[in-house]
Amino acid sequence: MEKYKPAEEYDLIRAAKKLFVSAFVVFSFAAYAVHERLSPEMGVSAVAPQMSPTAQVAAVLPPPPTDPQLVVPSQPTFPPSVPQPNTVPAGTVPQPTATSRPLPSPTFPSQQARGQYRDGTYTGRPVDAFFGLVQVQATVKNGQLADVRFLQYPNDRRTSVRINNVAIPRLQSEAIKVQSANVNIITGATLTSEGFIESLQSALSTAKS
Amino acid sequence: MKETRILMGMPITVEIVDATATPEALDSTFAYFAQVDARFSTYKENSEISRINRRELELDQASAEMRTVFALAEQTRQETGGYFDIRRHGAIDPSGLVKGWAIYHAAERLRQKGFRNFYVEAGGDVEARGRNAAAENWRVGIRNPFAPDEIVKVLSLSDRGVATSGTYVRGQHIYDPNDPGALQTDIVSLTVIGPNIYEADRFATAAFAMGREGILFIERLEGFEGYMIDARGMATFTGEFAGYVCDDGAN
Repeated sequence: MEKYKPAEEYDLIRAAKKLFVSAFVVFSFAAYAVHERLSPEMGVSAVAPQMSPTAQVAAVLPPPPTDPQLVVPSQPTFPPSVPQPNTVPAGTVPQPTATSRPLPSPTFPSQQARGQYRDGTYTGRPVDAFFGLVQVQATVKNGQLADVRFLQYPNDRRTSVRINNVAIPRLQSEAIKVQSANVNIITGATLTSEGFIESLQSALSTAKS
Repeated sequence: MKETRILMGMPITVEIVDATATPEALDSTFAYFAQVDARFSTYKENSEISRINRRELELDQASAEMRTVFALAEQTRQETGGYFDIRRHGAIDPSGLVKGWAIYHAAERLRQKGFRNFYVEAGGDVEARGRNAAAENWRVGIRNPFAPDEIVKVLSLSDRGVATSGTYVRGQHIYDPNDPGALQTDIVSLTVIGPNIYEADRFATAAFAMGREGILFIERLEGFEGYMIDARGMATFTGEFAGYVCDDGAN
């Protein structure tokens, strides 16, 4: 679990992080602009990943005795048709190298039996999620987690950096537009962010019956 | 019948529409995720992956599930030019591949029990089978990466997997193998629709790390469609993506 820092140190760290992100974005744009000027003109941006030719999904390995159904997902009519890049800048070879630091371990109630939580709405504490604060509110109905809402989220991700979007046939663009929320399921990446999980945990820690 | 539990460090939701749904089917699905977590969680000291990382267990002595995941990860690494890689600081963290793979297997287990209309969702990745309670394709909303309580696109899906990779994901392999240490910051969200969640997830993870080129990678993959949102709120989407969009979702 992250320790909660004093407010002044908190603000300094946040300012430093924002400065770093801004500097990185500017540097990336500058590097991209320089790269574009140096690369030969192609139909596609020159930075395309090097890829192996068409591959089939792996064959089934011997299943463990307790789960005879264990198979690799296979799609007989579908091998991913992996594109060959038009060009690869000299010296660009994928160098898979680890970069991220290990995360602190999130702790959760280990057994989520039905009815473990008391019904109600619980607000988690705000958590620093690098780009800003994340704070969620959890709703428990019938003893189960029924809804999670964002009270605070990082909203300073918009930048005015213009990056040339080379026109590719069949790709189209649009501005995102808010739609009706009448959906069955939601897909998004934010729910696995560390800030989200910490804030949710702090909300549910007050909901335990 | 629907339930959400927090396992593997994220909310996991299972809904079964078929009239034959039972609490046991839900319990068994969550038990499966708990078993996957016990084996693959790098946060658990005694998990099989932690023992492998401490060299207490060799891969050829590991479970068949573990060896399968390693083989799939290596295949994905090669297919994506290294943009997908489970190796980290000399240790292995397969959680990015395990998530989609586990959701897929959870869905297959439900199908083998005879269910046809259900979905399994974990941390924003979805395997949607059949139809919803209104007997329509499942309505899947794409979260606004700038305002997570808002939806920016509504999809109509049946027998598909949909995965979204995004900037706020931590602890997963979202990095550029050509520039180790640099976080990709131009694209904030990439949603991939594929024939199943295992395929959608592994390619969404790799394509997101490619930055703006990622949507081109998805465009060239037959059977996959993608919707990419950049830091300015502009979306770029693949040629057949519109076929999945619910136009009546517009405000």
